[in-house]
Amino acid sequence: MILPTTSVGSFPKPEYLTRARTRYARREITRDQLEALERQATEEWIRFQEEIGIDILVDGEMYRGDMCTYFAENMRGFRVSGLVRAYGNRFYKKPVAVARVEYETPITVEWFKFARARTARPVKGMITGPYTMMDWSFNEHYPSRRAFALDLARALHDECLALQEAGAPYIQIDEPALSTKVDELPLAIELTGIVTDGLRARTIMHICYGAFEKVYPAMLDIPVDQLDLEMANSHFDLLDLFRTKPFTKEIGLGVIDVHTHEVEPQDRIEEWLRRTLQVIPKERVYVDPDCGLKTRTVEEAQAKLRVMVDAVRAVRREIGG
Amino acid sequence: MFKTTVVGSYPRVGDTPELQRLRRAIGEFEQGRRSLEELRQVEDDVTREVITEQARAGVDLITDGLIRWYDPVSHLCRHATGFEINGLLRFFDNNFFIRQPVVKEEVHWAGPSVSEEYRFAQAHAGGHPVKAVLMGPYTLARFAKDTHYGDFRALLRDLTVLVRTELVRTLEAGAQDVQVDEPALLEQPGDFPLLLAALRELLDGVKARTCLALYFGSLRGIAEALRELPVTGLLVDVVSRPENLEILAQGAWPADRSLVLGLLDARNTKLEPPEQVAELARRVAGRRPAESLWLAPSFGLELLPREAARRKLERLVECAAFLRRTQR
Repeated sequence: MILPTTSVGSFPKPEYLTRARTRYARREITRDQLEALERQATEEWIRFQEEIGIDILVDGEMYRGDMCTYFAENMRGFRVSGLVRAYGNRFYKKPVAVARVEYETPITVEWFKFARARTARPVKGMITGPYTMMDWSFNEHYPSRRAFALDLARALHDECLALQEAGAPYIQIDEPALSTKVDELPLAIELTGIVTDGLRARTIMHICYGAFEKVYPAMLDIPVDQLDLEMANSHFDLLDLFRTKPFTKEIGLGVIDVHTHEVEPQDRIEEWLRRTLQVIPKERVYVDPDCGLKTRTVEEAQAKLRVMVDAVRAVRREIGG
Repeated sequence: MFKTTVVGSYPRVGDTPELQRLRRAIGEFEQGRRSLEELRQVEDDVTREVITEQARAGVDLITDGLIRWYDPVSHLCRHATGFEINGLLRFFDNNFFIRQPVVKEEVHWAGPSVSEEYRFAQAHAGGHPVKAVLMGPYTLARFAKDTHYGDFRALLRDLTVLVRTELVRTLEAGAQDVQVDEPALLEQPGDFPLLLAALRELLDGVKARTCLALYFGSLRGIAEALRELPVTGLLVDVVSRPENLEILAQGAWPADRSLVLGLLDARNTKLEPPEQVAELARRVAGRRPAESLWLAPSFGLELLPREAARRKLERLVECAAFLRRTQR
C-alpha cells in the first residue's frame, strides 16, 4: 500500500480519564482504578483508529503525563522536580538526574502489548529520545550533557530491544528538542546510533518545533529509516528545501496542524500530498499529523484524523495505489 | 563589592496549594468565576511574597519577579495597539514558550505596564532597592511577526518609541536601576549597529543606572564593539556560553562600568560550589574595581521550580560572601 497513515503518538484523554488522573493525584482513587480507565481509553482509541482505517496504529499514550517525566519515573537515577512554567498558566514537572541513569524494567512494553492484542493491524512502539530527555531534565549528577545523554541512550536502547522482542514492527523515537541546538546535532546523531543499534524494526524519529532549515540536510545523517516532520504548520514550505537537496529517507509527513482548532479542509491536505509526491517518491511517504494530538479535544482530534484518512484515500485513487 | 542581583523573573507557583493560588486564580478568572480585580489582588499578594523571598535571601538588587508578565515578549505588546497576540513560539532554546505578537498596524504605546509594576514593587520592598526590567525593542522586533511594516528598521523604530515611553514613565515612578534585555542580538551579531542606534534613542538623556542584559548566546562577534553601548552596566550569561567569561576576562567591558556576571546556572537545579563560582568570577575580576562587579544567575529564575529558585538565590548570596571573605 502507498501513503500508509499513522499518528505521532498521543491522543487527547477523554474527560473521564482527565478527571480520574486529578483524583488519583489527590489520592481519592487507587492506581488500579486509574489503570482500568487508562485501558478503557486505550481500547476506545484503538477501535477508533481501526474504524476510520488508519494503517499503523498507536496506543494513544493514555498512560503518559509529560513525555519526559513518564520515562524518568520508570528509570533508575531520577527524581521528579516541582512545577515549572511551560507557557501562560501551564506548568509541568521535570525529571532531575540525581544518580547514574539506568534501565530498570520495561517502560512502555506492557502498553504496547495491550494495544497489539486488540488489533490485527501493526502497532508502533514509541519512546522519548535521549537527547530530549537530557535537554528537558535538570542534571544534578553528570559532569556534562554528553555523559548524561549517553547513559540515557543506552537505557533507551534496552527499551527498544524490549519493544522489538514484544513484536513492534516500527519503533519511533521522539526528539522534539533536537532542532533547538543546531551545534549539538552530531551528539544527537551519536545518541540515535546507540538507541537504534542492531534493531530489525523499522526506525522512525519524530522531530518538531523545528527550525529545520538550520539542520537540513545534516539531519539526514540521523541513523533511522524515517524522519517524521511537522509540515502542516509551516504550510509545507519545507518542500522547497527538499527540492534543492533531496530528502533521502522515508518521510513521516505531518499534514495536520495540531495547534489549531480548525479541521483542515480535505482539498488542502490532498493538495499538499500531491505537491509532496512531486518531490519525494511515493514509496517513501507515510502520512500523519504534525505532532501528538493530545492538546486538542477528542472531537477535534477525531475530525482531523478522519479528514486525513479521507484525503489520503482520494490521492491513492488518483495515483492508483 | 561583589554585590548580588537577579535577571528578572521568579517562579510564580510552588508546590503547596498555598503557593499555587495565582495559578488557580488565573484559571478561575478565565472561567469567569473571578473578577479581574480579584485576580489583581492575588498578583499583588504573590508579588509581595516574591519580593520578600528575594530580600530575605539577601540579594542586594531585586525585581518584582515579573509575576504579572504573561511572558517576556508579549508583556509590553499587551499594553500597546497594533498587535494581535498569536500562537506559541519557543523562547530561544528553552522548553518554554511565549505568545508571538503579530504586528497588524502601526504600533503605539497604549497604557502603563512596567512603570506601575515598579511603583508597586518599590512601595512594598521596605526600602530594598528594586530594579525595573524591560524587554528591549530589538528583541521584541525579532520575535514579532510583522504583517504591516514590511521593513524591520521601521518596526524597530516604532518599537523603540513604544519601549521608551514606558521607560520614561518608569523613571518618573522613581526607578534608579533599569535593565533592558536584548538576548536576540546574540543570534544576529551583525545587527549590532541596529541595536546600538535603538539603544541610543531609547536611553537618550536617561540619568538612571542602565544595564543591558544578554543571555543564552555568545558574545563572539560583538566583543570588540561592546564598549560602544550607551549603558552604565552590562549583564552577561556566562553559563550557557563559557567563552563569554574569557571574552570578559580579556577586558571586553570597560572596568569603570559595572558588570553583572550571570555565573549561577538559572536553568539547572544543581547548586554550584562557592569555590567554583569564585574561581570563575576571579578570572574576570582582575584589575577591575571590586565594586563594579556583580554576581547573578544566568537568566531569570522562573525556569526552575520555586523551591530550587529560592535555594539558588541563597547560594548566590553565599558565593558573593565567599568571594568577599577570600579576596586577595
